[in-house]
Amino acid sequence: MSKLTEVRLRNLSHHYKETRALDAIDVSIEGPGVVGLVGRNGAGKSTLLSILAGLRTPSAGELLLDGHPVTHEPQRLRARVGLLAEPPALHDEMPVARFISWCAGLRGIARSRREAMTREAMRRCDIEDVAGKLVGELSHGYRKRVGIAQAIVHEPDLLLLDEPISGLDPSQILAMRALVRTLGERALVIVSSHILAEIAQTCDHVLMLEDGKLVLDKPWNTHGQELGELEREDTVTLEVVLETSDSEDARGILASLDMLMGTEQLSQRAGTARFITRVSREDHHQVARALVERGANLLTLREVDREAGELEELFVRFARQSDGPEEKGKGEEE
Amino acid sequence: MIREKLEPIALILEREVLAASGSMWGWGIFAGKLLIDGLLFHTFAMTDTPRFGAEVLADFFYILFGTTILLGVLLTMRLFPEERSQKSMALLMGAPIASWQIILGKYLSALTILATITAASVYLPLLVLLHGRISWSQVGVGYLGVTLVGMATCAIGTWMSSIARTQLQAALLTSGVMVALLLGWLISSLSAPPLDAFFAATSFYDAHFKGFMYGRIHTSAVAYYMGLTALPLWFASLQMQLERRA
Repeated sequence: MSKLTEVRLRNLSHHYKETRALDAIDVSIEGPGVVGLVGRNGAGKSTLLSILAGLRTPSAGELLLDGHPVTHEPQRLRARVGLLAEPPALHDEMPVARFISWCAGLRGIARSRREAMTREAMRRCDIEDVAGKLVGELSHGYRKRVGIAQAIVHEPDLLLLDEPISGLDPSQILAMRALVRTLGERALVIVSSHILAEIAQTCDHVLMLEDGKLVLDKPWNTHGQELGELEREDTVTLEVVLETSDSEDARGILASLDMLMGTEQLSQRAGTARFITRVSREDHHQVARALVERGANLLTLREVDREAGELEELFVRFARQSDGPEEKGKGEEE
Repeated sequence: MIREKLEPIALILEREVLAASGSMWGWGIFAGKLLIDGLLFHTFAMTDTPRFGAEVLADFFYILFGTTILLGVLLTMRLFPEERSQKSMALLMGAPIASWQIILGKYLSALTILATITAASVYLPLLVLLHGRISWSQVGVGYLGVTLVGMATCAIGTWMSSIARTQLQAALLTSGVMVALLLGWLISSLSAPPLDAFFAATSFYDAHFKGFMYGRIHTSAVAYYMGLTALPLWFASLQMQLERRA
């Protein structure tokens, strides 16, 4: 089987009785690499992960692996996926090595290859020293690692990690971060987390869900590179919200300001356009006046501490948009 | 090909049996079942009144019939609700194996434990030898009947366990179905023809087990218990399939 290079969700929707958990998600994710999946509780992250893991069938739409539809071939999908659930799905009464070998067997690995693959998974997750211990006797950090080892033992193309660092101490977080990056070299790793700083530091690409909709689909490193060439100490990141029904107009106004660098539009909804941009520290007090002089109807202009977590800003922004009573029920253009 | 299909079933079976044999609960059930069998046998079967060995054996299998149903309920109530409460269900649900393989692995694990515990009671009919004679064919046929009862109870329990969210719920559902099947004769006596014949024919004990107690094998009884095994397992597989596709 060739290595997975693309996971495509085509208008994927899922309903639980009356509740719409996912709403027409349309995105293509390329691998290998690490993709962050963020969103508030109830945003649809778990539902999306469970569909990707073959644990659910979407109510509508299609899931394609390298162009092949697998929505109605869950066995084919499951064979290529590894899942670290939160909390990790483990059998406490089994010794670690035996448990991982058992999982390998369940995923169709031949008995003759099972031992070697188990050893390799334990080596990659650095749990060889607890191979003989019962899973139930392990610390939280080790349990996470065992959870990952069982997820990678059959060398899946698509690895789904749900909250991989929750509950870990700082040294364990560093180790887990390194492990996730290593795993992302071989497979497409999708990390779901509410710890946004973690996503920002580990992922190449970010997907953000809000109320079952995909509100952000962004190559994270590329974004960083565009702006990263600037001397960060001398620049500030600004969030600009303009009242306009025509985002082209708003983009034109921002583009006409020479002082702004690497402007990106984040959203256009309910008569407002949101942008993120960068400006030299020297000029940043001039931005408001310059925008007003060009006829922009400026609603918000504020500094975003990029180093402290641009993703948090994005997250809060989308959450606010979703919560805002004046925006509920209005059409969305994103 | 067949080996590939059987491998996951064997893995699920192996894990379940090892988990039970490594737990206090497993050994508690084992000891409790033998204790109850022994006490009931000595109280009701081995009386001071002189009796034929066949009668003593029939009483023994009557006792075993009841305790086997109870054991089946206890062994199957944990199968799925425990995995759900421990959040380990994703290991099975996300594995590239068919729903029937999961069900069969779980079912066979319960049946293996039940058969082992039931086999351990074989010393009781041997005690009759101290006072008289027994028919080995009656012993064999009796145990065949008990095994069939165990198979059907475990299958019904597996089905109910696949539906239930908690162990208590699973135990109550299985017990409810078993009581309904056991009361077939009562419902039959209260019903008018032709329903009375139908309910009589579905009776779990009266219509089908009594023959085994006395060493008689009726093909219809074997078919009845086999049907009561296959049908719930099929329903459980469908239930699992639905859950995986929800």
